[in-house]
Amino acid sequence: MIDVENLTKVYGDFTAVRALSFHVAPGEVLGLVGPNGAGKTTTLRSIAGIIVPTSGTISIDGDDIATAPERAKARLAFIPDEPQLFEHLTVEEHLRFIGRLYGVSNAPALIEPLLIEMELLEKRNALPAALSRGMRQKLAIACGLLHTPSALLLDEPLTGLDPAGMRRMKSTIASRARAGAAVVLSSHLLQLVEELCTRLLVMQRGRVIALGTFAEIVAERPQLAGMALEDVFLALMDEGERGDRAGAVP
Amino acid sequence: MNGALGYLLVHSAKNRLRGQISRLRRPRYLLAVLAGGAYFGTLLFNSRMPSPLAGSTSSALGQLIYTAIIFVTVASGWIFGSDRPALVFSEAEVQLLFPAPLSRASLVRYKVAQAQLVVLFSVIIWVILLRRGGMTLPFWMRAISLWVILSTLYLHRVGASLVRTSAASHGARGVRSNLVPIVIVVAAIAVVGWTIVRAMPGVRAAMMVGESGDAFAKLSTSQPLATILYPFHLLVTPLFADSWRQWLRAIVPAFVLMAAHYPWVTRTDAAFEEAVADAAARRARAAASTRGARRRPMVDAERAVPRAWFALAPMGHPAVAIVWKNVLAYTRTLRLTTLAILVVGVGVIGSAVYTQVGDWHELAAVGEILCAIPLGMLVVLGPGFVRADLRQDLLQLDQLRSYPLRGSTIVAAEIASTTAILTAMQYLLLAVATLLASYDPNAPVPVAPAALIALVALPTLNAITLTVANGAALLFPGWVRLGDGRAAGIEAMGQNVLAILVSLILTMVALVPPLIVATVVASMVDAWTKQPMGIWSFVPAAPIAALAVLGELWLVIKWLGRVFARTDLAQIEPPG
Repeated sequence: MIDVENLTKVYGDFTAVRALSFHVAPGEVLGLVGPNGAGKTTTLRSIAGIIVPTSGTISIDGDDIATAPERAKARLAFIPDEPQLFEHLTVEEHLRFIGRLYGVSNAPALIEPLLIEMELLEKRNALPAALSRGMRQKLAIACGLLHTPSALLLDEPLTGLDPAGMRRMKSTIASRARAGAAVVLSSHLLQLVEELCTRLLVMQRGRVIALGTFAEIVAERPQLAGMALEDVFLALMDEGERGDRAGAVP
Repeated sequence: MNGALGYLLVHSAKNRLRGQISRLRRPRYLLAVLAGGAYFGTLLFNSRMPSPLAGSTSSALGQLIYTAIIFVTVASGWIFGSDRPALVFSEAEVQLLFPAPLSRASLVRYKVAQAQLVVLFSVIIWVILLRRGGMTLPFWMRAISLWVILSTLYLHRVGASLVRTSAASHGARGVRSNLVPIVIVVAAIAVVGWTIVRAMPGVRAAMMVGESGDAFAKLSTSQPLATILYPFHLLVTPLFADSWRQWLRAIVPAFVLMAAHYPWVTRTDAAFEEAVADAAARRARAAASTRGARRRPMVDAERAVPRAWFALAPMGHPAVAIVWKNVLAYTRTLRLTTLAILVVGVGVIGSAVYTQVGDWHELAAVGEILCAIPLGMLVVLGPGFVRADLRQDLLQLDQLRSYPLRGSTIVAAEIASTTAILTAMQYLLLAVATLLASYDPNAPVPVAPAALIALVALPTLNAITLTVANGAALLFPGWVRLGDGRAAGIEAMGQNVLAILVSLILTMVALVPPLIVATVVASMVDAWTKQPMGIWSFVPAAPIAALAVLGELWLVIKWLGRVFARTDLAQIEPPG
């Protein structure tokens, strides 16, 4: 599970994330949505231990990412929007490397099924430079899944995938959640969010606009009843803008 | 130059400078600039303070050394240079400039003008470093002389790479169309090599009586060497002029030589365009694999991937995985053709020496020198060239930080990677040198203890210099080149020399405690054995001194681990 308490990240005089708190239980898929610059990626990077928060606490299965980073990181996977791969390692070598890093004793047995699941078996001996954008994305996801993380952080996971790849990826994410992983998924694709996420966290300019299931968010705002997710999202953005203009947020 | 390209050039440089200046708001950058500025300022304006390179440029021998360095630089560009054009275009330039209605010549001119920024920076560094050393010219004359040398070498490197590119991509047709420069270069290199081999016994005899400088000077003025080295000598002469009249007489032909390169470079622009088109096609097939997509992948996607030469066990210390990854990556970037040329070259020189001297001892002595020179270069320059560590991986900081490892463990693994690679190369040369020295009755030092000390000292020294290099990358990511791309060519040597100097100074400081330990232990050994053991007393001292170094490094790496965990990503890439 993922616990975030009062997460704040400040760059100079710019606050990227402001007092953010939420909890993702095992099996839950939290959709992180918001316009560009809302602080979604900063939130994911903070949870992954890549960025040191200015204040607040983050824990993975009870382990604080600040005080017990190795234990917390061993149970999570962060898959960024732009896959980061090592250009001199082949597809299979990437997985062997990750297996050793995370201490996956049965990695050799897991690699082939994972490559099949990601449709990368034929490319197992290829370098990243020989892969398409979608294949690189799949490899990054395969690296993230190899150690069966209990917390999965995905930043725009469908970028670069073809329609069949998208369908397969959605099924993979759903199956990992069903298997007990706590998933946080950031995406601009509202259709994907609607299809996969059990709860939504809507952010704007680093702060929370809405948090809850779609039904809960709409129930709190009767004027949004009957609207599609896209319209709800745009209405929430308007609400945030109005709040900012009224000086509701310091 | 096209107005838009001029605008791009000026504004990019201006913004880059602005970025560098804004970095000075960070205390560590400001402190480094103040310390460096104070040192080099004192060097430039205090005539009593010796230049770090003083003495290397005195008299006729200095001219000869400079001429030889330039010849070797040019020759190695032809022999070992890349088969890709030296005109490197960024992704943005490829995407925005190539489809634009610009002539090929204007693109070349743009790149040449852009390189001038690096050349001018190098000129400043060299003017400071060569402040003295036998040169009596005023500062601005030395600056112009160096500018002519560096600009000529840059243009020559570009021209040579274009010829190589054309020959590589068009096979026999490419060779035919560039036959004149290829024949001239091959003949010049062969004649120089043969002349040196023929003169080797005489030079060695002169070295034994301490007259090597005179022997080399005599050799350089003998024909046909003097004719071949003439253009190189022409470039160097202005730097050593004694008066402004002499300088004026020398700078004009040097300038003409530089100017003559310009049409040569632009004439070969057809090959440049084809090579760039190839590169663009490669890029289309292989988008950047790292987040740092600002740099193109250096890997040829179509090349067969060599198998990993050692397997990674699925279980064990996770840091080993990082070492494995880095060593594997480095071995995959090695160019086998370069190694083959080196081996064949050494074989040819060895055979030639043997046919000349007909003496195995003499051959062994020459072989020792042939091993000692690259070994020494690997010790001093190796850490700058072998970069399979944080300097490579820091662009993927997100990835590294998400690993379930301590920051200090990751830093240690990264440093250990390059230390292992460099040490392996040095051990190979050390083994050959030791073998050859055992056949040389006049070996300068006792072979066995020297080899034993080197076995310990080399990895220790590498670990120190690489900790310095990786520490610099972590502390000053805005100044250190990250990723595969490294500034190449003599025109960028100013930066490299600066980095090497800083690294050497820090290494010297780090070596003080272990050297004290080694001296104390050696004295204790002498006292215990009740007789001076000479170099043998340092054999037990070396591992003890190495332990002292390990202690130092442990502390430094612990600190760097904390820096790694807190490095501001904004220094490397903008925050998301």
